[in-house]
Amino acid sequence: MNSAIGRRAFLTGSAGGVLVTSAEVAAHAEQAGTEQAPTRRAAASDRVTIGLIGAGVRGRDHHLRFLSANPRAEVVAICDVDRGHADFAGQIAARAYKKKPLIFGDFRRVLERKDIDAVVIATPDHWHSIMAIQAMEAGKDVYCEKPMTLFIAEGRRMVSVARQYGTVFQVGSQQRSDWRFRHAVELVRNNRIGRLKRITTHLGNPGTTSGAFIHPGTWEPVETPPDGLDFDMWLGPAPFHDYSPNRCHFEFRYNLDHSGGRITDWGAHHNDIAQWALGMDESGPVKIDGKGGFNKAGPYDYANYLDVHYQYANGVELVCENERGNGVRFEGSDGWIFVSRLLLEASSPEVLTEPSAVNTKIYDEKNRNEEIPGTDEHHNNWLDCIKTRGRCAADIEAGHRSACICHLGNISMRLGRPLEWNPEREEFAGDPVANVMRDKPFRAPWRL
Amino acid sequence: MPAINPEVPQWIDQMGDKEQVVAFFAYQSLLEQVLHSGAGQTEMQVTLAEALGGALTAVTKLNARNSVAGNAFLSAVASQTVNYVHPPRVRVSLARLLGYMPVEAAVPFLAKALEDLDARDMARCSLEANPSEKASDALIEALDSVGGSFRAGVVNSLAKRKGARVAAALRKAAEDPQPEVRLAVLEALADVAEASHDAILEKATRAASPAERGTAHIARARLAETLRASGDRRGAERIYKAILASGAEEPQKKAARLALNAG
Repeated sequence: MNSAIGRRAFLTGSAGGVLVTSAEVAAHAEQAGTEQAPTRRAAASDRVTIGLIGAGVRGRDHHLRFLSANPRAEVVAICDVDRGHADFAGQIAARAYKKKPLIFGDFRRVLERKDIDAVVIATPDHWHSIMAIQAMEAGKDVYCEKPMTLFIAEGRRMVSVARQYGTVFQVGSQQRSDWRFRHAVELVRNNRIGRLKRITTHLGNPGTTSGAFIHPGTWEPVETPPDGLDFDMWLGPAPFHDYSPNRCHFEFRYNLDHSGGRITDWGAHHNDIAQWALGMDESGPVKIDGKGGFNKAGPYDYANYLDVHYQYANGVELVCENERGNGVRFEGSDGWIFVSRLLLEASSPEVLTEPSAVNTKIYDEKNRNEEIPGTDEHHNNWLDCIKTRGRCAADIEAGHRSACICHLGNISMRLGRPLEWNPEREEFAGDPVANVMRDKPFRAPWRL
Repeated sequence: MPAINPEVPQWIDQMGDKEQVVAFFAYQSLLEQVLHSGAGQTEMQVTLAEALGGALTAVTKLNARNSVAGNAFLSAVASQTVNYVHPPRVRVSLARLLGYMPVEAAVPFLAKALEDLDARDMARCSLEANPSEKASDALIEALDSVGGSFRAGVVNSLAKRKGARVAAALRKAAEDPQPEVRLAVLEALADVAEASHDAILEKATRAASPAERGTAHIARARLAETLRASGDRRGAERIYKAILASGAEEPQKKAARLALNAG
């Protein structure tokens, strides 16, 4: 028997364009002003001043939308290599704050500002490490979108810098601030389904129960970059490519020079929950066996199909796949739990409802947010920690390790062979090619 | 020597095809060969590296077209012009593929490609990834032979490598006339667990250029952390105390206070 609670639709980001009408700006500004409905802004001296780096769909429709409605923060600067994106977001912020934010095309100009306390990084993945490290070295606290990294080696460097500078670092794994996932993780960690045996992370389309996510893309001719887009800066440390629209903006996710495909997109969320439930925020699996289906006709080079099996030292198996819906399923000796952004269900109602002696407290029923990403819990957690100087719900080490799970899967799939991983040393055993793939040299002059 | 897939030469040519899908398929096919040859098949990797490297550096013979009748100067210039067999796009892809081959056999080809204006940055990246000592040698040698901002990239690559000769080459480059090279060197020196590098970094905190001064302060904090991580706590402590007494920005002073308070 299944027991399901909390079925709510979640909001999806709207597509954005460069050509902006005043009606579009008004619509976004209205949305920003009504979400969370702040009754009163904190005094200016108490507000966290924020620079938004990356003002595409995610930066604008998620971060700016929620932060501009949050009385504890003020987005004072917006930066994007696409002037159209920056200006559009700037107009929305101007409506929300009744004053114009600073607009930049180069993130380093944001970091130079001493009147900015913190930055949100919502750029393509190939930029995350450089921007985050430079921000931390400039004394800024950081909210960095997931996946935190594009490859394994840069994550360790980021963690080291964060600890050195005492940075409050939130990774955009916002499921850690969602009650369903928090509740599920707490139940698993308190053995409510007995001894944990297997976790399956399903990376298919949300709201479906079958069918792999496949997006092979279509070939587009090479073009001159559009006016207002600094494409060389968009590429930054990534290998040089001629411009075509299906490399830029949201489509970056399907090009392995800029992201990791489905496994680092949804996988960064669900594998993060798996790691959390396993208590492996500072460790990882010891064996990886990935099977991936790559489309050799391009243009996208990520794994369309994926089926990756991870083995942890404690015997638990993690299976990551994209053909059977979307969510995380925990299987134990006495039952199972399935959790997604839509629902939380279990093998019997008692698993979810009966009180038990709690050893690990994660979920607070009194503070239950109802939908994700329709609430601002993850931003609020970050703002709380900036005040207390505590560690965030999705701290940088956890973000690094969760991203590693995804990268390990990608490496095994691309190599077409099983791998042995030492999570302490963060290196593969007996496979020099796999070890080379932990790192990725940057295009000059960029460096970590 | 093991035989490589007979389609390899054809795929190399096809990477230059004007049809994007053909070029992409060829690159992916070669990448598959490279990656799948990596598990305990060193001989296969060597053979494949030689095939790819040979194509990367292949030049056509100088011929009559390279001489300009009646003009000795132009003939001399033309005779030194290198005519690569493969177009730039193919050479860049070949240099990239060699970066997935951590065998010494790849190094001579990549070192040669550092002279190739189109493929040199990718060749530099692939040398960075190659664990052979000879890759370090090639990068050190390039510091004296390549120009301008490309040298900053070479410094970045050397920063990822270890060894006394690498550190010595980086120290030498600290006096480079190019500002962007000096900036790269400051950060590279901070990644080497060598306390004496602080003298170079401290000197740079008094440079005329604000960018150089700022980078030097950040690099000092980075060097302190490198030393601490390597077990040289006293060396780290010395630098952190010096940072507190210097004109460093507040974030570096905060990092110093955190480290000193942590003990």
